[in-house]
Parts: sequence; C-alpha cells; structure tokens
Amino acid sequence: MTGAGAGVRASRRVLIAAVILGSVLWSVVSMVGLLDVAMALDAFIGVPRGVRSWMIPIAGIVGVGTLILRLWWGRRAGSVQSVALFIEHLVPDLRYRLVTAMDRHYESTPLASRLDEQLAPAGWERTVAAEGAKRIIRPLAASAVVLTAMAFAPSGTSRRVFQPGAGDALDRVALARAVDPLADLVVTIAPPPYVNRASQTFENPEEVHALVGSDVRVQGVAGERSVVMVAGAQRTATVTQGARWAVRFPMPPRPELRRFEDGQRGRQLLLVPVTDSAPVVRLDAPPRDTVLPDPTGVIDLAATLADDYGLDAGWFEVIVSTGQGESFQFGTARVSERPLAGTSAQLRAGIDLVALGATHGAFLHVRAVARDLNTVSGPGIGVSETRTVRVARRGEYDSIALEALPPLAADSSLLSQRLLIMLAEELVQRRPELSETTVTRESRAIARDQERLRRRVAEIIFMRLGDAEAGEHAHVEDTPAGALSPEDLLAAAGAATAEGAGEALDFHGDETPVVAVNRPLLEAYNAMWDAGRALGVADPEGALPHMYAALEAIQRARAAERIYLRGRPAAAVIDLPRVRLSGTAPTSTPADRRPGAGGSRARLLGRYRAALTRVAMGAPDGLDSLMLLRLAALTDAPDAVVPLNEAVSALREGREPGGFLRRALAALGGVPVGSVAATPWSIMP
Amino acid sequence: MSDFVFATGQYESGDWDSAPLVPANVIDAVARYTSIPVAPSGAIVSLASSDVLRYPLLYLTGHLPVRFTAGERAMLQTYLARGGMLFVDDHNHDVDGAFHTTAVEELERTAGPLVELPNDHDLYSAFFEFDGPPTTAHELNGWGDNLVHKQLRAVIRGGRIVVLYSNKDYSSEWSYHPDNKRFLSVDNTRFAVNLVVYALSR
Repeated sequence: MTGAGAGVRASRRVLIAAVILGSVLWSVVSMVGLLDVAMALDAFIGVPRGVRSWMIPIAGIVGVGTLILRLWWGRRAGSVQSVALFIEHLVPDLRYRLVTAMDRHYESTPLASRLDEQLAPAGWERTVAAEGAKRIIRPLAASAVVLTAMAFAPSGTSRRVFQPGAGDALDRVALARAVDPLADLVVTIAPPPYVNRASQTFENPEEVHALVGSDVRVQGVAGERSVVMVAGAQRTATVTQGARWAVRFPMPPRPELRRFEDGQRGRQLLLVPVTDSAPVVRLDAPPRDTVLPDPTGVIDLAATLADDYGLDAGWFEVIVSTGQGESFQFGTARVSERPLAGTSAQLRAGIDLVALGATHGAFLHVRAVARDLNTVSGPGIGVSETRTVRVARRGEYDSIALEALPPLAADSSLLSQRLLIMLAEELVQRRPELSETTVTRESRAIARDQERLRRRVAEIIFMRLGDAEAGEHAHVEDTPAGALSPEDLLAAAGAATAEGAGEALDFHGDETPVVAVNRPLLEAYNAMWDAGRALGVADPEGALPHMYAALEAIQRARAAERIYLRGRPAAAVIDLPRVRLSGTAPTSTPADRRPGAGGSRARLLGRYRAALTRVAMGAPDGLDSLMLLRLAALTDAPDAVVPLNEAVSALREGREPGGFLRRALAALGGVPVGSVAATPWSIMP
Repeated sequence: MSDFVFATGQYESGDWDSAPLVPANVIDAVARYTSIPVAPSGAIVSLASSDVLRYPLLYLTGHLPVRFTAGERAMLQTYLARGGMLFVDDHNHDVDGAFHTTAVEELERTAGPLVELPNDHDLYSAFFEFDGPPTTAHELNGWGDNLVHKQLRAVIRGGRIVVLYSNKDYSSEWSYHPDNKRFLSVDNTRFAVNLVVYALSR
C-alpha cells in the first residue's frame, strides 16, 4: 500500500465515524424534538391521552427512520474512491492526483510511486478531520438544545407524555389559561385492604361506584381560590400540597352527593356505594329432609360457598334437639369449621350420630354457614337453607296410619266421548276374536260409561235452565221415550222449574238464543242415548255413528260458547272507597290516600318538573338538578335511576334526551307511558 | 256537580249486553286513577230514550248485526249534536263480522263518515300517555279477523270526537271482574280512563 493509500483509508475511517456518530445524534434530535413538540402542544392546547400514549412509539419510529436515512446518505464514506473524491473536493490543489493514485489501473505502475511522492507533503488529513468534526458538531448542538428543552420541561408535562395514564389531567401545565381548581377532578379509589385489589383512578367522573369503606381521594389543580367539599351541611376544607389540592374520605354506606366549590363555581360528584354481599351458601347434602329409623350411621354434609370478594371461613351448624312432650333439650355445634380463601369453596363433613349422642326421636337441624372477609361493613354471614334430619321415635313404625285420599273430582271419573269412541272402535276390531259373552260384557261396560257421560251433559243443560243437577235424572230418565227432541227437553226442563219453558226462556220459534246455545248439547244428549242403547244390546258397530254424532255436537256446543244469552245483566257495584283506598276517615281524600300519589315520589316528581324547566331554559344548574334527582331516586325511586342517568348523559353529549326524560317521568309516577303492546295475562272472552 | 255515570247503550237489535263486566271495570279504573266523582255502578239506557242525554259517554258493543230503529237513530243524532260521545267496540274483533259491517253502516248513516283517528290524537294523551290504541290480548291471540288494528276510527266534529269506533275488542279485554286486576302487571283498562277524561273534558 502506498503512503497516499494509507492516508485515504485513515480519512475513510474518520469519515465513517463521523457519519455514524452524526446519524445517531440526528436520530436523537428527531426523537427528542418530536417529544418536545408534543409536550409543548400538550401544555398549550392539551393533547388527548390516546394521542399521548402513542408519542413514545412514534418518536422511536421517527428516530430509527432518521438514523437509517442519515446512514444511507453517508454510505459513500465506506468507499475509498468516494473518500478520495471527497478529499479532492476539500483540497482542489490535489488536481485529481489522489483519485488517480487510488485507481487500481495505476496501482503497480511507476506513475503510482510518482504520484505518491507528490502527494506525500499534501497533508489533507487535518482538513478531513475538521470536516468530520463539523458533521458531528451540528447534530451535537441540536441534541443539546432539544435535550435541554426536555430537561427543563415541567415535570408534569413530561410525565403526561412519557407516562400517560388515568389521573394525569392534573399534571398538565397551564401555560395558556388561568388555573381553574375545578377544571379537572381526579378521583382515586383504594378498595378496603381485605378486597386485595389495586387502586383505580378516574378523571372527571360524574359518579363513583366503590365498595363501602373504600378510601376515596379527590384531587384537583391548586389555584388562587381554595376548594371546599360540601356534604350536606358539612363543609370540609381541602388540603393543598404543592400544585394540587386533595381531600380524602371513606366511601359512605348510602348514596351521597359531594359538591366541590371554589367560591365562584362548583362541581359535584355522586358517590354510589357498592355493597359487599353476604356469602351465598347452598347446602348440597343432605339434599332433603329425612327420617332415619335408628340413631346410627354418618350423615354426609356438603355445601357450596361463594362470595363476591372473598370468603373467610365456613362451617356447618347443627342443632340437635332431643326429648319429647314438653321436655326437650337443645344443643348447637359447629362442624368442620375451617378458614377459607378465594371467592368460592366446597365444604364437606360427616356427622356421626352415635358420637353426637343422638337418640330416638332426636331432630337434627343442619345448615351451612359462611363468613366473608368484609372488615368494614361486615363481616357478612351467609347461611344455607336448613335441612331437618329426624330420628324416628321408638315404636313409630309399630302402627300404620293412613290418611284418606281427598275425594276424587266427579269429572275426572268420567271417560270422554273421544275415549268411549276409541273403546268402541277397539271392541269392533277385536270382535271376531272374542266370544259373544265377552263382547256383550265389554259393550255394556262402555254403555255404562256412555250413560254417565250423558247424565253429565244433561246436568249441564239443566243447570243452564235453572234446575238442579239431578234434573235429568228426576225428570227425563223416567220418560218412556228416552230420547227427546230439543224442544221436548226444554219443555221438560220448564216443567221441572214449574214454569212454561217457552215463556220463561223467551222462546220464539226454533232459534232463540237459549235453543241456539243448548241445541248442540241436546243433540249430543240424544246421540248418547242412541249410542248407549246400541251398546247395551252388544252392538258397538251400530253405536259408533251415534257416538261420532255426539262428539261432533259437543264440539259445536263448545264453539257456541262465545254467544251470550240476552238479558239484563246484574248490576256490578264498585266499592269506590276500597278502590281509592280512601278508608272511612272523613278527612281522607282519594288523592292523599292513593298509593303513589303522595310521598317521596311526588316530591321527586315536583323536583323533576322544576329541573326540566331549568334545563329547558338552558340554565347551567338544570343538569345538576337532574343529577341530584338521580341521587335521590337511588333510594326513593330506583326504577327512575336508569332513565335519569341516560337523560343526563344525553343532555351532556348533546343527544336527544326526550325518550329518556319521558321514561323518567313515567317512572316517577307522573304520566305513565302507554307503550305496552300486550298484557301478559288476560281474561278470555 | 253530579257523579259521572258510565252508560251502556241498549239497542233493539243484536246483543248489546255481551260485555257485562266492562262498565264495572271502567268505573274501577276511573276511581283508581282519577279523582273524578264517579257512580259506583253503571247505567243501561235505551238508545231510543231521551235518558241518553243524561250521560256524556255512551258505550255500545255486541257481536250480532246492528240495526238502529228510527227512534234510536234520531235520539242518537240528538245525543251527538248535544255533545255526547259514543264509544262503539266490535266485540267480534272481526272486520268481516256481522257487527262491524252493520254497525259501521249504521253509524255512518247516523253520524257521518268514520275516519281513521291519528295515533297522536289528544285522546291518547288525555290522561295516560299512549302511542296509539293499546293492543288487546285478543288481537294478539288471533281471535276474530286475526289482525292487530293499528288505529281506531272516529267521527270528528269541530275537532272533537263524537263517535269512536274500535275493532280492538276492548269489550273482551275489559270484561273481567275488577278484582282480577291484581293479576295484571299492567292494568289494561287504563285506556278507558282516557276515554272518560276525554269525553268529560273536550
């Protein structure tokens, strides 16, 4: 290698180092500069958290992109020829001798050694070093500027960019606005320790849902005006620490409203307590109440326990009562008590009756019990239902005591016409295989059932005509003809009631309503007569047409049930005081005795209307009034809470609140909404 | 001021008394929800009688064909001209039924054309708020014409309903003993209150 060649390669190393270092510095400048810009924008106009959370990745991408771009631009620093050309550019006096000396074509020629001699005293290395340093100094200076800007940026601003998260609203530096202590409220909720859950932070919540006893911390930016928290009649001064004011309080057991005031304006925060439920306990074994014949053996116990936040302990509780008459002894024991962990558990145990000292006639009342971890408003105790295990008394099974069955309903003993038809059809099919005696016996059995059904039909007819149920038997059964025409039967019915049938029943021709209603039943009645007669002489084939006719007539009678008899209906008198719940007190008025018309809902309704008026006028406190109403509704009108909440949200977001307001009004008992399309239950016509 | 008396119109043809429990139920609803002085029982009044003029609201229903006599038609015209309101309900809930075809014909001959009542009419907000005529279980169960009628029809004079005609079968829907309202999650007779309030206040 010639002396010129070594010099060029040395210059190349200098330039490569300068390119790399310069690229890295520019990369830093672009990254930090971008973050500086983001911080400045956030300080002046506020950047949403969603955008801020992307700033670090975006700055990284920009930095890497800058690095790659700068390296690409400086890639010729790696080429000897390019470096030689660059040196020729820096030192024009070389007159391309250096480039020629680096040319491989002249590498082993006398020209090369001559050029090397001429280039030896040139001394371009210093120039190259100075040029390399220049390429580092500019990005170095820029880096110093952006890093200095970042270093001197307010800590809150840099935190908002580097660690965006809930609650950083208070970190924002107000450069372009006056400090408003109530502009941003940050609420941090630390659940009670027993819950073992992390704190949560919310920015500008309208309401806070938290477990009773949770540590609630409300913070804001401290300004010239001090902030006071108002809870009912109580005013609590907030504590200012550095640039923030804060106040802490435990989550109350009932919904409450806290108002924060700075002397000029106010903001309110609705506190909605979440109750730690008592454990839910299910006794799996024994599955039902049991009677044991002897006081021996082991009773298996099993229970499933669950809690919303955590179980502390569980056990079985056994109450043993022994004795009889008026002399009983009781004992209570805890079985298998053990500490629990987690939100669900299984509990198992066994009770040895012998070890328990149970005797004949003893009662064991068993239930499972669980205790939760609630150390604030608890502990919550959950119990299962109680099962009773009884040990039979001595001699209990020596006698048999049977309780009589209740009398069977008359109708249930009747075979339907359809079933009678099926029996008759079956008998007709089997007839070739049966003896005549069997056919006669079975046919007469069907005839007896047919007769019972016919009597029932007659009872219905006679009941309509005002006679007693026995009317058919008393007045028709004995008639020699047996089957009657509808008019004959009506006449007989009239005779039974000592009245002229036609006159009493408004009988005009064949189609009075009475006949229209009863005609199908009368036809069924007559068809049953004919069927019964045929069955009685062992002629089921002959009976079947009449049975079909009877069934068809019954069907028509059912269809006719929609027709009402004419006549003056009995006057229904409404007990108005009872309906109006007005009682007998002379001072009572329907309005003040009617449920829902007075009381807390009426007051809420009045407030609701006043709030709506304020909202309609565009008054800023209208929305607050609705929120206050919602707080009151949590206890007095829970069904109005959801529509009120929706209405407040809609008003706040500029959406149409009409539907929600209407539902809220209905829930508060103002004007009920008649949008129910169907009723779940109704009377048939 | 005398108590409001719910009157059922009695006409010669048809079965005017097909819904005997409706009056009691309407009276119960009026008493339950309003402070309107109301008589504890309804009245039955012949359409041909001048007694109809004593009642601001007259209820007419039935399943069978309706043919007014000359006397009934004349008295009904007088009644409507003097400010009475007639509420007619098709107990068949059947636009092809005998009651509907004949009643509509008779009403149009007596009072004028029946037009569809808009569902935002004052009637539907006279007391309770409704989006239109409440649907009946009988419509949904497919009785009668198996239709859910979206609108009621009415004869309107001077901006006021004088005849309200319904195919909704409120006569079936409301014909149960008022004591059984306790089984309903939503009282289906509330629309009757609107009818009464409208008849008394418009």
